[in-house]
Amino acid sequence: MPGETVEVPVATAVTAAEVLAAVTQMIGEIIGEDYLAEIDVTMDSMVTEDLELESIEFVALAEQLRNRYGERVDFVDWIAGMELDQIILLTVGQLVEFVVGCLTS
Amino acid sequence: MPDVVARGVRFHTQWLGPEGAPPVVMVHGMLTGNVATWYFGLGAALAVDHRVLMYDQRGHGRSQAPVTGYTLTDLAADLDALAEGVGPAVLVGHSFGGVVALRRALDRPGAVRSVVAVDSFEPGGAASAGPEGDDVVDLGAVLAWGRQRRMRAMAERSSRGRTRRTRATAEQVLLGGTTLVSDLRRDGHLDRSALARLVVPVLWVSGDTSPFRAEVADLGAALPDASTERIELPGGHALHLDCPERLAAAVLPFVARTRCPEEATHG
Repeated sequence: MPGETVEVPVATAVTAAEVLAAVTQMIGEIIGEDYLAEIDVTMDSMVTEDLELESIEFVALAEQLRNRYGERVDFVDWIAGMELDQIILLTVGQLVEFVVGCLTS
Repeated sequence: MPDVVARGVRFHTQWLGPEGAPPVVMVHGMLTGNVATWYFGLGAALAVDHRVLMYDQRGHGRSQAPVTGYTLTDLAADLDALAEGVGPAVLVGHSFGGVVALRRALDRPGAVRSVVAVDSFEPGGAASAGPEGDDVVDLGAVLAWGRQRRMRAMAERSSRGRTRRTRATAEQVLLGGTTLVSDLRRDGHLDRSALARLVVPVLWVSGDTSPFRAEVADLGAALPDASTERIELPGGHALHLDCPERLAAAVLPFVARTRCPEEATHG
């Protein structure tokens, strides 16, 4: 359910594979499962070029990440600190590593 | 909850910042704008110590696109309905969003602490406003500006021959399926004599290379000097993208000075 916050306990080790699966599901909800079926989301996928996320969809992704992981994953602050060309080159792998880093630190 | 129904329309809203902090409501521009205008930029910067409400105006972003109701009176009423619950707030508007914010400041001065208007103007300007005709000339300029930006963004992506998602843009929906153009032609201007008596503090921000410099200057000249601070920044119409740090450096102190006192927002 979107809007529901699932708090991941601090002690739980979160693997990159788990976060990749969760992020893939979020992206599917944002861009549509039909479109997602045509592409393979990997750690190397580029968020804007391969997945074609637009700026308003980045906002939706921020909301989904907050709903799932709570305030410990501050995606807004992370993106806000980037230059535009860094955002254009952002990969799913960088996003996954960022989330894992927030949850294990 | 991200979606709110107001005035019969479903609006996509986003909140950032701590609950109970002084409220700020942000209004994006017409056709090319949406919540993302602010969300990762000035909105995030303000959210450090404000409760920031952002919403997609009707027909934009992830909000519903009704066929009618795009007059300045309607858009200001949308803002009023969505901002009603937050108490006296600082309003921040980009482009026509600043006009919408000023309209609410004129209608409900008690509900508005101050207004930040970023490169704001009325399509057509007061000087050319008149019966059907040349008054929408600058709406065409807005469209050309938006297309140019999109083309640049597309050029930045190298095509790998994949089928691209094909969705109607907000611009296509608004121009092809709504009364926006005729609505704004009929009711898209502020009352200049009322504006000259505005007591709500205004920060008037303009871009020195904006293609709408003349229109922005024309509207800015109608604001009273006593309550208006003016600043020109190096950049075009999208100052939030062209010089985000300088925009934040100009806006944050003004908002801190004019916002609702902290104690008044708690309890």
